[in-house]
Amino acid sequence: MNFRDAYNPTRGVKEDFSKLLETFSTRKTVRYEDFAELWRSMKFSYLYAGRKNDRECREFYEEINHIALSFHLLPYDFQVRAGGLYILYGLYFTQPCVPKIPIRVTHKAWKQIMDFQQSVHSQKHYDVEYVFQKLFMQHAFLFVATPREVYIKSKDKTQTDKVVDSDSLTKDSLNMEDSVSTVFTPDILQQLRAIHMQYQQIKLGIAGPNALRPDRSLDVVEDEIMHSIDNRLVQHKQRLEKIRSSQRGRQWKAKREEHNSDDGESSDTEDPDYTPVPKSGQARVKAQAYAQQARQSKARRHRNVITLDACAATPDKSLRKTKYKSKKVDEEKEEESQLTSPTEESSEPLPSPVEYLSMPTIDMEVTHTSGPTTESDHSTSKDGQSKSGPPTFENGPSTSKTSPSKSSTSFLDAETDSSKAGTTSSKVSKSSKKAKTSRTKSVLSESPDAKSPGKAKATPKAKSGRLKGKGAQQKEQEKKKRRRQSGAEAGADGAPALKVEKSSPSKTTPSKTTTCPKKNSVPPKLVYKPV
Amino acid sequence: MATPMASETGENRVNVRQFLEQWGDQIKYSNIANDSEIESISAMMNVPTDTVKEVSEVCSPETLMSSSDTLDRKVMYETVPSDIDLTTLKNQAAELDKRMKNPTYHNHILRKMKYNYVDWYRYFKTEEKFSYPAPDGVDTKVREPNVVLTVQVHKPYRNQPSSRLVMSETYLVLGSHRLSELRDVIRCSNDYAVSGDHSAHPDVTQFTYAKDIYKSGFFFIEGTFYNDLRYPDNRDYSQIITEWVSQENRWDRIGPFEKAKMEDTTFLDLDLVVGKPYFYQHQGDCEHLLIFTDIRMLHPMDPQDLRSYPYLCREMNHKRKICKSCMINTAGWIIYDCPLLPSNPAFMCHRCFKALLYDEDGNKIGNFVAYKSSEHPT
Repeated sequence: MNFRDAYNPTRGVKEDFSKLLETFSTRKTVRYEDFAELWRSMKFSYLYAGRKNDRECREFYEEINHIALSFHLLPYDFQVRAGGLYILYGLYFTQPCVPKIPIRVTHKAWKQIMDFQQSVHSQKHYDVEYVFQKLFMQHAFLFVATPREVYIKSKDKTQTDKVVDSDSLTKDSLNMEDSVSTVFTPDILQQLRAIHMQYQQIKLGIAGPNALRPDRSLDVVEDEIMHSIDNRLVQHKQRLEKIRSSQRGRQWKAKREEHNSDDGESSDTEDPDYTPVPKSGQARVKAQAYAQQARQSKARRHRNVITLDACAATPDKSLRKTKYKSKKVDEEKEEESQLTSPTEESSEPLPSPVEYLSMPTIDMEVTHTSGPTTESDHSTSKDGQSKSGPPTFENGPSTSKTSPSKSSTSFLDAETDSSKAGTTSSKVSKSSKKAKTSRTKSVLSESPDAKSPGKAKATPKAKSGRLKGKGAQQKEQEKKKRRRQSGAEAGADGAPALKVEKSSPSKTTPSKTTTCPKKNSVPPKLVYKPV
Repeated sequence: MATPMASETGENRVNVRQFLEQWGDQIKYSNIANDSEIESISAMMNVPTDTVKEVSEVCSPETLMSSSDTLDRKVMYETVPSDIDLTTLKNQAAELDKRMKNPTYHNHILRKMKYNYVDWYRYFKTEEKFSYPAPDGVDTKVREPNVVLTVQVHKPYRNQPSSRLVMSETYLVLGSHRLSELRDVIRCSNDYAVSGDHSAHPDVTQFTYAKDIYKSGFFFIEGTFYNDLRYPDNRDYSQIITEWVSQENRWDRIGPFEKAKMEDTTFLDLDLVVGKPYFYQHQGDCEHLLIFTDIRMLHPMDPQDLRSYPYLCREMNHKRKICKSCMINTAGWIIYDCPLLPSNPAFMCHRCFKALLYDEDGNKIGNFVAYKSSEHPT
């Protein structure tokens, strides 16, 4: 749910700089003309294009300054460092921000820069020196204590850009800081490799012109030390992953409870078939064990459903109903209950049975994937849930379109709340009203009775696979609740239900992917027939 | 590169004076203005001017522009040209696309950006006109070299689960400033609280604000309490705390704290950790957090006049209480127990307040209690 991490303003900059510097170093020259030619040919002055306004550009510029400065410092060789200086020069004088933003240098960096200038001066590279002096004269440098401004909540954006940074050995899956990875950053590893190679070459050189390997008396360091370091790091990473995934499994359950209304952006990107399964440990075992059973719907609402497919297990349902109801109340509190109650796992909506006052509210296809009759019940329950869905849709037709975000949270909350209270009886009006407010959760969960002539209604396809397990349970509850509500007041429902349903078809398509709180873990393919 | 997470030791711990001395010799901006650029560069490089001239032509910034450049800022900002083969631009184009498709995402990103629209304009204020001229003989130019610290002040923080840390203002202070000068600039609505029921005389305009009555305060930075003892009846808030700490069961766990005077300490004397929250307390129990986000040398871009410091460089929008009846003005009165008003307490601006609750003679209608509310949006 963290958009900010998804946007890294400097994505791709490092590659561009590397490409430029590589080409520059192949020319075997430090002359500025060559660099400028390259710069022009690659059209680097357009680097700032697309930043909508000054403030965004400013933030971008400050970050790329760091990247460019890093190329100018050790451990790169002389040519790359000269190229880095040229890049800084280029960036500074092509930046569109007014007044110009200076380059932040710490004392350590400044020392290196001055040393470099000494060597440049002694080698009489006038252009390199001129470039530096010009920057200095124009007050392009800002002398600081820390490379970036430090604030307690800030996170290093470049480090969160895991996707692009392909050579990153570290992945911060749960935002845990890994002290090993802070020591063994990719830069340092690269430097180590370079130093080791140099060392080996020097040893080889000492051994004589025809030597194939260094003198044995100089065998102090393991030959393939970088290999073993890499291996160790990979192992460490794997171990960490294991630990994290087991933690993640636990946390994921917790998160699902909290964020079940935060469909968010993942709903668009995730495969609807995806059921998040915790990777290890107890959670995984349980999830697998209950995966099949999850399909069964134990909702009370199935009892009175008049269905085309005979859902016969009414007595079962009544039994399960109480169990389910009590569970429902607890569920909101304990995410662990997910694992213990198979009924709460995602359910599959089945081909829809008849609905009382039904109209296909949303174009949804629910495939019947697992056998037992309970599934059909479940689907009907889902349909019932959808009924209370539409009332909430009315609230947020706009949010449905833009929903992967907090703005629709209340709306989604309402839906999931209503699902939670599925077993509770609430009238449609009541539930819809409640659904409209974010207080639904508590209110709905309190009303315990279930009466539901099921109304199979198309529930909006839940696309957030991420929350399948938990979401499914929510959906179930919601559906149950809706169905109950719809069942409870068949007559009274008519008007609101119809009204609701009318509006919902219009919403089906846009809302499809985003509005429904994660109900299904498996894509429901339910075709509804109007009655 | 160092991560920006605050760390107690290592790179983020800065002794301000040492920092200044480290850099002191390297930067001298003032002597540049005299010579022309080429001459000064040739002086630095120890190379004849002509050579420098040649080099400058070779290396001029024009060489960085492609020949077919428009480089009009506005155009550049708006669109990403599609014919350029830079990964950055491709990513940025994708990003802009994503924003267009998803307004919520767009809003989220805009909100989370580092800078506000308004922040930028503050940087144009380096040539400020002051309401009072400098007193004669006193040079108000900032002495170089000097250290500039960026202090982030927050709104009052209550230690409750529901309270969030909200940034308030950001100031630039010089190293040579005293701590009391920073304290004077920090604005807090609690300072403008007026005590007592003023419903009997609503037209009185002179009020004694709380900041005139309770003037004590302290900063707590790195284990030292810096008390404000400028006025004779300022209390030493830190005394109670140090007594509590020195009790038997605590003194071994919480280190002994030191005391100093706010008005005698300059920022140069401090030993700071960049990014670590420090503490400012006033009005008895109003607590603010301060964070020094940045320590750097003075730069020509910074305001050059002492009168402009501490310089407000970032300001956050603050909510204001709107009058219930006109919904236009800021509320100046908080009214309790009034049957005519919809809520208890209710907020009204002065004009609506007078209009509703006072008759033509200026007498109070009804039995209510009214407190003056601060109209400062802090």
